Amino acid sequence: MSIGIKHNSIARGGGALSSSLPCRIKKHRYSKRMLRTSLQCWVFLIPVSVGMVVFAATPIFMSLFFSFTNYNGAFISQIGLFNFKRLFDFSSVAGERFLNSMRVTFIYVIANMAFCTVLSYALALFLHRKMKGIGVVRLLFYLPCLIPGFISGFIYMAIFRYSASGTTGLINTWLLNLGLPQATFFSAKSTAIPTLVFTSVFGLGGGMIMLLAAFSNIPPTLYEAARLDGAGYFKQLFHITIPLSTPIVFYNLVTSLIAGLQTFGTYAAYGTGPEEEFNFMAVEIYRMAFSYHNYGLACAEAYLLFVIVGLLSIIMFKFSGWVHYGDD
Amino acid sequence: MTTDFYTCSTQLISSSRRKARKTALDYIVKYAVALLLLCVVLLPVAFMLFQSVMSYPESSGLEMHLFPHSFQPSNYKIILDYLSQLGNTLLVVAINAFFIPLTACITAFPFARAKFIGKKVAFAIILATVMVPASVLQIPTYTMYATVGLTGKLASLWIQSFFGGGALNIFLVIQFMRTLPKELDEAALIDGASLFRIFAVIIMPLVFNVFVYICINTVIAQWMDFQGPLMYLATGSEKSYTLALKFYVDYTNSTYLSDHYNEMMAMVVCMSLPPVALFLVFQQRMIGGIKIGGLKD
Repeated sequence: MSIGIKHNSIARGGGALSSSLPCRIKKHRYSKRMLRTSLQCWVFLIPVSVGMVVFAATPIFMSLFFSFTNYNGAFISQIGLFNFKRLFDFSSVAGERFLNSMRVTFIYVIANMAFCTVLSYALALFLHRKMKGIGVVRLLFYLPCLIPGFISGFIYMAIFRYSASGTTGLINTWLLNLGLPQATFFSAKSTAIPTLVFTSVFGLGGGMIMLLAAFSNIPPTLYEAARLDGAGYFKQLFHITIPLSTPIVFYNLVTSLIAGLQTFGTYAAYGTGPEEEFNFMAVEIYRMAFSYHNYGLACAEAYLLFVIVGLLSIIMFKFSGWVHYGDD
Repeated sequence: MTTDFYTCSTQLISSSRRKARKTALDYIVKYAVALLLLCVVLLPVAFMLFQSVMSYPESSGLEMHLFPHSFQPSNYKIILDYLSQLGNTLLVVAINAFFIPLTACITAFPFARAKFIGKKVAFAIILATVMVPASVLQIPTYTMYATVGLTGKLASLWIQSFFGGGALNIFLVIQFMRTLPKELDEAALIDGASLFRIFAVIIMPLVFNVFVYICINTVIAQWMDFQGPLMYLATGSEKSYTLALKFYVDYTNSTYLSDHYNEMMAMVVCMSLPPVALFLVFQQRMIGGIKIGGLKD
């Protein structure tokens, strides 16, 4: 392999030279050793290649095909653009549902990203200090993240339960004991998403742990130099800590955007929420396919989600000028 | 001169005392804030633990409260109703937790340690799959499974683990393998070892840490996976459900069960235990995995 690499680099150097010369030397062919290495390498890639063809490429094209049909799990009788026409006609039932699911998904994703980013950053800053027992404190903050997301919904449902008559949840009982009126939390359209965003408080430990790792990678010499120059806590924060941790913040933002657009776990405990307020896009697609057996329409919705995820990711990377990457 | 020295030193002492008092106050405030925040964040954990030992009238009474007045650990007997589903879940988790990291390592090896024809294109294709939402894949995958008769069978949850292990895991292993010194495989090549031998004998033992990291992450993710079982298994018989699916079906469909908060929370505690235990045992590795780029040991 080492010889193969050397050979290749020489060939590349030759190529650069030849392109500057008027007469072109015939393009370099791969050496025997390179071919043999490649063959061996592709043997390693057999499993992933099969996986890519069977579990990625095939479904992607099948899904694209289904989105132009009225496939219902058994047969196809119509081919055309009608699914997309229905989805973009917001006065139709399907279009209205789709518009609603996009609306709630975007509100939830944006609110949740802002809420989690700010609070987990503040929490990480607060815990980024030398204190006795800080390790245990950090661990305890991380503990709720280890409760699987799918069942934590059932816990929140009980804590935030609202009932005009009958068993009320823990928080509402506390409110009543304080002489305050009950809050509707998950039971009313207007408070459902704010409550769901608030429950992210219990999952702040995940972002915090990544940020703490980023903070500990900042060379302490920077802080020493800043202190010698007389910089206070806030100067150090705004000129060292925040700029040098932007890559991990950006990573968190991108992953939480992609994950947030595909929120499905809420379906277990909350279903579709009050007045379809938790009918997020992944939930809508699932129901369209498996409850209404309209696979074609579901695939069309999935493809629109695909386009949205792609566009938003590209936009985020385009506007990532604020992210500070080190020189190395 | 001496008086000067005296005042100077008393000033010093008093200022250091003031400083000590200030830092002590500082400490108290910081611990108090930390404690207060912990009370908020740990509320769900405390709630599930306390509810799980309450008696039925207490947990489902009109007024919910946090601290239990009764102690009824027999709620935990509910796990006995879930034993066959527990077995199914363990089987699925075990297969995934072994083969996902393994195939991720196999796939990552040529990308990290060799040059070959088509490397850039192959890498770009693998990374591009991160962008594809699961929703796009799930309906065709379901129809494919239905035609080969995999729906309703546990195999539908582990069959994919043999084919690549996911782009993000592959990427993680590549990053890690790149940090290993090049001299290792060069020396082996000179001795006439093939790439397969280098992978199995030299590289695999060295990436053991990252193998374990992916393994534990897979266990945590698969243990309570909800979407997969709901789609592929829900149409089958209850015998082949996973724990998460049976819990979901039981506690959203029947009013009796969803009213029994004490038993439900006992079940929730049981289902939360494995991830917590795994994390506590492998804590150092898990946190190390986050900064894997700089990991050197």
